[in-house]
Amino acid sequence: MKPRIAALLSLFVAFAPAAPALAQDAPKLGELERKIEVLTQEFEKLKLGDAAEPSASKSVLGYAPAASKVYRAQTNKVSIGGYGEMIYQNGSKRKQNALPAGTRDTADLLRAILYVGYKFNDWITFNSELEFEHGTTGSGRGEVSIEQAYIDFRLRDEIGIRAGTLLVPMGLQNEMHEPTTFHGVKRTSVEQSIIPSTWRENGAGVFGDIGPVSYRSYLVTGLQAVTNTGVSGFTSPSGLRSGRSSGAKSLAEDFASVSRLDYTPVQGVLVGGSFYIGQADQSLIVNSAPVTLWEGHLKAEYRGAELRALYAEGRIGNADSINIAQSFTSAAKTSVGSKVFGGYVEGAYDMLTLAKNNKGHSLSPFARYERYDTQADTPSAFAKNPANSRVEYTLGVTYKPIPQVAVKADHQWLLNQAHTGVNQWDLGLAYIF
Amino acid sequence: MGPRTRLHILIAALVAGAAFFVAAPARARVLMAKKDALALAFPAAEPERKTAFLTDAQAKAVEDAARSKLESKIWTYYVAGSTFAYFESHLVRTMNETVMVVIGSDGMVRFVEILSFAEPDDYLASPRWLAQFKGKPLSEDLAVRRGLRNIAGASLTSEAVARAVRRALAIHKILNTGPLE
Repeated sequence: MKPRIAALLSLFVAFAPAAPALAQDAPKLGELERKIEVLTQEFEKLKLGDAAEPSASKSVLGYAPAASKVYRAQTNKVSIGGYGEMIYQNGSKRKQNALPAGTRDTADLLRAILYVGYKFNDWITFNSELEFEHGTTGSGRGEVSIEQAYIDFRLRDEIGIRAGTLLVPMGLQNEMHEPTTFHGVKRTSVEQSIIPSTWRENGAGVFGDIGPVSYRSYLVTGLQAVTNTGVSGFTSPSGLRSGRSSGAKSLAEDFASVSRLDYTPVQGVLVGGSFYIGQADQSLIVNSAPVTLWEGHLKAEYRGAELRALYAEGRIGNADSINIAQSFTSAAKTSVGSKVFGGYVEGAYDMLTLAKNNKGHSLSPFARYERYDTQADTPSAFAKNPANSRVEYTLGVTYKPIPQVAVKADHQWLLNQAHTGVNQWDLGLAYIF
Repeated sequence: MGPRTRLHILIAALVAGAAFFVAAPARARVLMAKKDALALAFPAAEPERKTAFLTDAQAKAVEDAARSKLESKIWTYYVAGSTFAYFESHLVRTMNETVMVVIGSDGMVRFVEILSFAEPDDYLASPRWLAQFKGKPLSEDLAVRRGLRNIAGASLTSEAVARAVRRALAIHKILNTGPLE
């Protein structure tokens, strides 16, 4: 489009110097004004793009006039976006109990992501997220994954159909995980250990907005409770996390349903919850392995102040059968938790909202408290590991020179009931485009 | 595949089928064309189309007041009586959005409409969010996380629309009431 604008402007410039010479020639001056008017109209059309098209007035292919506009509009467009995050982690040399921690500091290109989307027409859209983690797949350190790849059939605002590899619509960070959207160098522990973010599954469902309420309801492949075909199965320290098959040759013997409701009573406030229920045995063990997980969340912003809170709780049925299949023993305290829970509350304030003539910078100190336990309950014959009952405090700051770039720093006090937690401080650099 | 799996799939198929049936009559999501937007801004009169050619000094003053960069010094706008409508296209993330900002002769926003939006629909500003601009003048407070709430999950959209409205208000002010303070 830009060469066309340049060509129009050169024509405009070419006419302009002639104006004084034509001053005494009224008809020619009128013609010059008319041409300038035509040029400005063309210029406006180029600036506004598709919106400058005349409104739909007659039907095409039997659709109502508005519906048939899709056949005239130039809506075939590829969209490319992305985000990335680099982090530095510096662990304390001592554990809570003062014994040597044995950790090493790390610097990691944690994620580099490309979004590629294609808008087939006004109501059918493809979107995908291609993820590179940890810089390289060499030495077994990193991985390449499709985090999501789905097609939306947006029938109307109130209802659409979505199918493909979908992000499970739970919590505040699983669907919205771009690093510029949350405080802290890393995602919250609760939304990694209780809600296993980034959690995606193959499936289909419906979504939509009805006034201040938005909803999503999907049928997806179930989790996998025990080791098979490259999936580790549930574990004691990370709950459901290693039971994700991430859309890769997922066993589809069992399905799950997940539904979410969000309500926005006033702009800047979002309150909602979600519920997941499904089986996870995938016909790999004799007994079923029912999983339920629910969560409630709140996000509120007022001027520079931000508040986030979330609580999640899950149950894993027949955990003793899973333990036997996985050779988890009471002596090793490695039992899968039959109950997991976690929650956090976080507050932040953008100090630069108080500054005059601020050109979009933000500087937000924040504080977060997290409490979670991936073995809140275990089957009666299996002992718990107190290291899985954890409390974390995070203090940090997020600086954004522009909304798409964030520089982060934080300190985390990571405590557990076995007194083996290791504190750390982190630095992060994040971008989104 | 067990009976519970078959039941899940059956329920999902029924829901999807019902959704298509219910929604089929209004398939396309149509954003507003300029002609329709003008009819909304000027329901009772045919507006006059005007073009402003900003000087370097005016453009600089607009950029300072709007706290964002002007992509063009040529601005076409529409006026009838005490109502002014300004159109602007800008980048949200990697794709364009076109908005109409309708301003009264008192220098306050009457309403804002999105005409086209090429980013994924998830990031589109809702009419409820756009309603925040009604009655707002150009001020330090006309910014996200000041006098304007953010759009949860679509902060790039909210920032982009807020900047566009500030630019329209600044241009309106400089064209109609002279130099900006």
